Order: sequence, then C-alpha cells, then structure tokens
Amino acid sequence: MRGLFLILLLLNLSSCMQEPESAELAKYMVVQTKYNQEFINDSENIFDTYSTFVIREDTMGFVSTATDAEYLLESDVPGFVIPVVDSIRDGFIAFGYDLVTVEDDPDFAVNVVVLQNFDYYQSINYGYGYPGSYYSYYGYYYPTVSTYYSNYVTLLIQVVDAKNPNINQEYPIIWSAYIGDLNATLDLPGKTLEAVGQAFEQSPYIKKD
Amino acid sequence: MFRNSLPILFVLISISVRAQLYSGAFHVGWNTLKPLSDKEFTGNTSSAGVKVGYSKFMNDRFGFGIEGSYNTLDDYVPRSTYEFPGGAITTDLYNYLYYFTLMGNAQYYFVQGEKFIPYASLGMGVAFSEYRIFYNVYEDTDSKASFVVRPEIGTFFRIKEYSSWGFKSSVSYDFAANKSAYFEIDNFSGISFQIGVVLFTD
Repeated sequence: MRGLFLILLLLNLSSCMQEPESAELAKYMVVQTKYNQEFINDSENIFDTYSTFVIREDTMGFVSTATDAEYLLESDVPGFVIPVVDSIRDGFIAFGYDLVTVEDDPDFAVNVVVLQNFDYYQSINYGYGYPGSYYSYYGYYYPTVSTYYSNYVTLLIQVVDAKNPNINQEYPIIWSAYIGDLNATLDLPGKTLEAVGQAFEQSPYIKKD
Repeated sequence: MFRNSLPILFVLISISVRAQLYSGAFHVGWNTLKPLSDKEFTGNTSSAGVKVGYSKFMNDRFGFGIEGSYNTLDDYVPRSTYEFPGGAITTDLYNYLYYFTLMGNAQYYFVQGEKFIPYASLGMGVAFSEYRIFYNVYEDTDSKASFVVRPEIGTFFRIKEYSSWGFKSSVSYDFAANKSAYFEIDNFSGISFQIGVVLFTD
C-alpha cells in the first residue's frame, strides 16, 4: 500500500512538468521583419523610390560558427536554395521592381543568408549597414556575434540600399526578415516558402509607388 | 437531566480519545486548478497538478500544517501577426504558467467522525510563478515570487473506522500577489479541486 502511495506521487509529479510537443512547436516558422525607420516613416518610404534590384540567384550566403563555408549551393541543400531564392526574387518582382544585374547600378540589393548557431534576435548587429559594398557574400558579412552557442538556424533576408551610403561608405539595411527555425521544421522547403510569403505580407510598405 | 446527558458525554469523550490515536496526517493528491485571472495568458483549467502536505492535529478542533503544490497551466494562441515599432512578428504561441506554492496553514475540524473529518483551513505562504512562452524553438521566460493566501474547505475520509489510511478531497481558492510586467500579467487567482490519499500518523 505504501508502495502504491509512492507510485501515485511519482506519476503525479512526472505528469506536471509539461512542455509543448516538438512537432507542434515546429508547425509554423517564426517570421520577424524589421524596417529602418530612418528611411520608412510617416513622411517617406524609400521603397516608393526604388525601381531596380539585384539578387544572387544561384546561392545563399552562409554564416556559421560550425564551418568556414561562406555560401550554400542547391546541391548542399537540395530543394531548398533555388526555390527559396526564386520565391524571394519573384516576390520583389511582383511588387513592381525590376531585376537587373549589379552592372546596371540597381537601387537595392536583396541578400539572402542562412545563419547557423546564432541567437535569433540579439546576435546579429551590422551597425549602420554593409561596409564597402551592398552586395556580396565574400568579405562583407561581419556580424557582431554574441558568442554563446545555440542550435538555431535562421534564414535572413535583407534589403540593402545601394544609393545612399554614409560618409564611411556603409550601405544602410532597409529591411530584414528573420525566418526560423530551419533546423526544427519537418518540411524545410514548404515551411520556408510559406514563411517568405508571410514576410512580404506583414511588410505592406514594400511597394513601388 | 444529568442522567440523560451521560451517554452524550460518553460519546464525545470516546470520539476525542479515538481521534487522538493519530497525531497527524500526510496527504498527497491530484490537484486541478481553474484560473480566474489572466485568462488571456493561460485560460485553460489544469489537471496537471499535485498537492502534498502534512497536518498536525493539536486537538479535536484545531490543527496546523505545511503544504506544497504545483500546477502547470497552459494555453495555445493560434498564429497571429504582432506589430511593434519598426517591425512585426508572426508566430503561434504556447503560453505556460508553472505555479508552485509553499505555505503553512491553520485548520479547524468541524467534527472528528469515525470516517469523516470535515475541515476548513487558511494557508499563507509564498508562490513561485514561472511564465513561459514557447514559439517554435524559442522561449521567453519571466519568474516571480510573491505572497499567496489560500482559504480551503474539505474533508478527510477514512477507508475504515479509525483506519490509518484514507482519502482527502478539498476545494480551495488561491490569490497570489505575483505580477509579470514583462508579459503584462497581473495578480493570479484560481480555484483548486483536490482528490488525494491520506496516511494518518501516530
């Protein structure tokens, strides 16, 4: 009888420490968007002034604490890299912007980067913007990173203004979308594409005047 | 008249003597907590709880004890977009409140029956509340400790007359003065229902 007493107690205690199921938690990706209030505010919206953009269509940038790789090819993550970049490109085209090459002197660049093992919110800090250039993976990603470890894998989409560098030749980041977690999802391409669409939907200021 | 009162007096003395066979009681039980406040954060009734305690019988009418309890309250908020200055975030949310209490209590026994010991009690102590929001792999947490008061009514029920084993059922009201400015949550209050096992001790 006393054993039953103990078993009842332990069963009860173990049932109390509840958390959501992992599969339920991963049902939707979190989509956070931020815009630069210096360029998008009540009196102006720099997206109204843009006409052309550039995006690297064959790769994604890759910033990781675990590897020195600087970009991802479609062959690295089959079914992910090209479809996601295509959806981002097509999203900006659908808003009326023209895709051009970097030689055509675009108004803004869209940079797509996968961040591995960085904290979602607090670890990426580019300051004013991209130093030296608005567009490239090589040598232009210098995030200031908090050095604690996490398993988070985040897709970062950034719109970088190509027309208004400051006196230090830093190109301002106009818009950022953080999408995660890429590691936890059970449907990486499908849920990422859904999240990209949501990033545009919750950013109504992205529009051509 | 004195002659007519003798049997009654004998019964009362008898009950008193028998009650003193046990000087206290351990109890552990399944606790269901229905929140009455902060329903926007965790509005669902929680059956995931436990309450453990010990009561010391001072005499037939009065006793005191200590008690600890734990409940998990939770709620699901479907996927929504939340705007903030300079941006927005879209996610679904799993809100959890882990609610611990540790308190002392004073008890009044309405009658010390052969099987039933109905009582009322008033407990006071400390409540530890951990508010946690899960969204995808991310979490936000805020923990608070505060004063809690718990009036309670219930009854002990012996399996057999004067058995050392029995059951307990009770209804209680919690008011905890905790607040979470981070989650904009005010004081916590709720009603608990408990069913448990009791071990009477010498």
